[in-house]
Amino acid sequence: MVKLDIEGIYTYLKNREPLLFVDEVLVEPGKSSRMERTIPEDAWFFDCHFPGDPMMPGVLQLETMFQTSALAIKLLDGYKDKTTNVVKVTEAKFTGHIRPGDTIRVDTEINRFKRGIATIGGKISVGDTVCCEAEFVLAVLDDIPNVNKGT
Amino acid sequence: MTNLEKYRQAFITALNADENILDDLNYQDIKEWDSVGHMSLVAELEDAFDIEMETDDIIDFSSYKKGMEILRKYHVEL
Repeated sequence: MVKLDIEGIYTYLKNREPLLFVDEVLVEPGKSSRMERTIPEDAWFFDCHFPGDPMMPGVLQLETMFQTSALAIKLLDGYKDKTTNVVKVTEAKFTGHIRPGDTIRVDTEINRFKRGIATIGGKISVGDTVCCEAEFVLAVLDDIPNVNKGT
Repeated sequence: MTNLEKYRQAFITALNADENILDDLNYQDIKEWDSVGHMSLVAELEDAFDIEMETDDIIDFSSYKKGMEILRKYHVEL
């Protein structure tokens, strides 16, 4: 397991605030990554999502998973400077709300990583409550060759 | 499952392709068979037949029919 703090994350991810959602991640390169983070009560999205009923938007929960899981690829030898892109969300379920001040736990696991294509499962929990589960695909575009059409 | 069934299933799984169009399917005929879908297809085939394809073959794998020809190099008879 490799523990990355925010400075380490800056060296692997291009995301920056306010669209950076990881600050300390435990990574098993090529296999899994895990993070716990308290969502600040004054996070920018709570004011607008929704006034009087603040909750973390589902799309940002997914982004949190994408960033957490990307580190498990970027820490592989030779992948630090390669770009990972989300190319498919196969399934996503939102089963609980994430409120200001909640501490979330993000678990992601790479089910298969082959030929630049990673199929990944992840979930976000608050305490014992699972708030979000998703399956998605990250692609390392640098690893994908151009196909000879029509040959 | 026969090798042919495995081969067809790889297209269905990786590209969500309609089985009825497989025989004449070419790269980029459907939106799912783009460069990313292509690598998913290759990964499915490699797992299904326990092979490791060479990069040149991955690049030349431009249709359902061409793929059958390429797999013969790996002693996969369809």
